[in-house]
Amino acid sequence: MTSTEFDHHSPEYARNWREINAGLRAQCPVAHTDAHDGFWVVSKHADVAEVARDDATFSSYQEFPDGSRTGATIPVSPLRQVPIEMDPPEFFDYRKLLNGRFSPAAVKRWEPFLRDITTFCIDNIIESGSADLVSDIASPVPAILTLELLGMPTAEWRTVSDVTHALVHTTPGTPENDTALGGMMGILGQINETIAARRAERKDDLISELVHTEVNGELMTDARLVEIITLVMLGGVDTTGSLIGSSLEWLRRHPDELKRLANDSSLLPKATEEFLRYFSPIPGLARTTTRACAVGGQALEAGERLFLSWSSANYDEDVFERPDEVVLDRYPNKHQAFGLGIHRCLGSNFARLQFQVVVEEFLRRLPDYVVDTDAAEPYPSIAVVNGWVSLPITFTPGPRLGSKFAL
Amino acid sequence: VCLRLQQYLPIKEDRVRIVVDAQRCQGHTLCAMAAPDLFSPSEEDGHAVVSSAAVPADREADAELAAAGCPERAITLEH
Repeated sequence: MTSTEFDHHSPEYARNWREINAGLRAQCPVAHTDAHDGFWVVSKHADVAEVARDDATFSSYQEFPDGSRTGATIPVSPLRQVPIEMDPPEFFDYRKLLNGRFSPAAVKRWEPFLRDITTFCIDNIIESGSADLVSDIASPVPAILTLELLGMPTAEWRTVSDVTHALVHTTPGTPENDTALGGMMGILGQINETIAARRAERKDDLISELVHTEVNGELMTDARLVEIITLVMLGGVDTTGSLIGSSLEWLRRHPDELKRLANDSSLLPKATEEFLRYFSPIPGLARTTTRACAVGGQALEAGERLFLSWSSANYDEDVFERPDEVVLDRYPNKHQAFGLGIHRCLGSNFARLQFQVVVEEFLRRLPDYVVDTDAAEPYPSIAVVNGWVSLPITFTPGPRLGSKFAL
Repeated sequence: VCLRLQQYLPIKEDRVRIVVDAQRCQGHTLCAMAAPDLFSPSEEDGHAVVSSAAVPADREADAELAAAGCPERAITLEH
């Protein structure tokens, strides 16, 4: 069997992604589907790794004479993101501009600020005894951090967060997605304003650095700057929040594991990797073949689209023992939740630190939280990000602690 | 490109040596999680910096664990 009805945008996939992935791995590890003009789903850990490491054969971005193009998503997004949608050698010129501010050491310096934002968000709800884990904690923390990093007004976090949420969990071509794209146009306007302002007056933020940095001897165009900033924004705002929401929802249903993690924060780094594996916040990304080749024994022509299923690879029985279980201290844990190869997630160190700070503070201050599972609403489509629209919680009220951060 | 040998211990015949393929390493930093004394992430981009190419005998097990845990298969141990 090489043909399936796989569609990562379908409601069935959002509900049953683990089962659908398992079926593909068992019966059809490189499967063709007619959805979205046809593409191949790559489901085995080894095959996904092989594709992700071969950028010459499997391209992340191509432009054609008729104006059409490929990219890292299926279907192609109208908003190009750079450098994730770019191939070597050009890719390296852009990735190295960004690496410095996303390195483990650079990210570590954000920890005090991150703790202040987290305290601020928890303070806002702690006296009330009820909240929405998504809109009150898991969304604002990454959104505020990302805007601060970029140099954009943090007071706008909710607009940015709402639009990116809607953008990722609606299906391209639907009115809901068009509305989200409209919202994104407004944010692009703000990005353009910030670019102009930082060009006139440099500050100590990422946008300032980018507008004053030359690539191959030339300053970048506004269009290119927007493509980079879009990547940082869309990569930073929705993904980490989804991991936080999914993990805290799971921990509430597994009280022994919750207690274990709350009592021993040294478990957090390995638990972070395990939650990344288990929830795979970005289920997969796309490549396009540049020449005839074979993947997992399946012959492919040039110009075919591939969906690399990180979320399937992360449950591959050939790599992970008991893949369907959360093993908080799993190691080795060669998950592909951040992708593999040269395009590996730029913001992974931010994601890990945010997850750890938020989970630590949350479990300390809301130890008896209860998730209203009947009212909890997962994303209707998980094609881009697998997360939650809302996760209502109740808890015993507590005192505000006060934070240096305020909006 | 980012691989630096911070400290090059004299190599004895019986010591296991860590070799990181700098082209394969993408800075996942999971090796540093298994053996923080043997690997540290580069300040520049998180790529693995081998603190000690020659592994002390009592650290061999963790070096092997780190090699097994590398998602890019960038770490090999030379016996």
